[in-house]
Amino acid sequence: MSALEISDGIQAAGTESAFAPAIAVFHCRWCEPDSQKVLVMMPPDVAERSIIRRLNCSARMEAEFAIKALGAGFDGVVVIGCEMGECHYRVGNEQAARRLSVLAGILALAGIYPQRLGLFWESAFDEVTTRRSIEEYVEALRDIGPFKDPH
Amino acid sequence: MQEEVEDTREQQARRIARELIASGGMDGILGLLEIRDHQVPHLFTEVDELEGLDVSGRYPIAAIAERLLRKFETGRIGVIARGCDERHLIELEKKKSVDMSRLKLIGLACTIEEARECHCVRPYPREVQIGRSVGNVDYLDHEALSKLINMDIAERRRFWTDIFDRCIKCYGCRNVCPLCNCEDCRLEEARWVRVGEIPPEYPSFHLIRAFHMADKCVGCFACERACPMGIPVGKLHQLIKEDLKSVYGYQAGRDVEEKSPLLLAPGVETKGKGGRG
Repeated sequence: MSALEISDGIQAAGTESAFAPAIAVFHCRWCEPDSQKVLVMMPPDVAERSIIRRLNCSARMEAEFAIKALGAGFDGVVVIGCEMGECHYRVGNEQAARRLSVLAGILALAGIYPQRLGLFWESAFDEVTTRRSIEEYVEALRDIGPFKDPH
Repeated sequence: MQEEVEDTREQQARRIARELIASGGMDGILGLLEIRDHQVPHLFTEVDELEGLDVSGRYPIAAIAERLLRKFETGRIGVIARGCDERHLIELEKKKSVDMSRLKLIGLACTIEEARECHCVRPYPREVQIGRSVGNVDYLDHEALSKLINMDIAERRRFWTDIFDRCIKCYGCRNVCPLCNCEDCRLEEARWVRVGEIPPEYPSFHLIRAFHMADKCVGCFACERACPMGIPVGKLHQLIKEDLKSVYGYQAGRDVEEKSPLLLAPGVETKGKGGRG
């Protein structure tokens, strides 16, 4: 079944009006080398509006990437990095986590829901956990609504 | 009975500066010179000039001190420094941009009125020689700051988007800041902020700068005073500062040995495996 058919199925099931957020996903190559595998973990209606970018380490993730993604029309930004203590570069994910948590605080102070920045420090190889994290994140974004032109 | 009248801050400053120049202990005193109701930074080298010395103006003088040290390879300079000026210099010293052994700080305490105007939480330097320290001020005592804290997220969004819309992208906030001084500025790169567009796209311009200042800002509010459009950018920085203080216990400008939590060196403070072999 194609992604489109699946999303049609969901709409037919009565979530027609559910808002499908566009998400910019950045993932570490060491905990999941294949971007496509991350993409299929997302709900199909969201996946078709989203982009996935692979980074060499979550530490490559700059605050600018997330800020620009919001300005460019994405409703959320997800960063998937290795579990703490498992970084290929020892502490890259910890550095990323510190920077990005500060960014989340700045978003909140500037009136942007910090929940738009999803930070997952768990190997994407653990498909069950990652899929659940992404689902919860997407559900939260559906409630929050689009980034541009908020209610 | 009336007590002996204390010298004004001007008188104290002139006396200290005169002693330092006359004794030859300093090659010059960096402070503000009053010219036709304006205060401009000036390097006082003659005792005669000190009549024009002013301590009421607000000017981020650390950047001038940095430039003077670079221009003159030898010599020592006294700097009349408020709390924020001292914190700027400490941050510049962290970046090895100033050699503090060539500077002598002459601490100037702000009055409570000045502290209120600047929404300052620490309106005094470590060692006060001019004026009297009024002590720390809780940031929530500043009405405008507590108002921003108490807004819910939708109110904040409306507040900041409306206000950022005024921006004419003059870069005044960046240019005035002694610590926002990268040689290559991301705010000038088309990749991050579209060129020739006013107001700048939301949220790139303001939030990129806010993020860059998160672990540097010492809360001097020069950016906010410089803004010709009245954007309260200093208040945003102040609240971000309070975030870093509560989460990491970090305060920029406090101690030259205190490293930013965002610059954690690999291997430091980690609970990990301590290397792979």
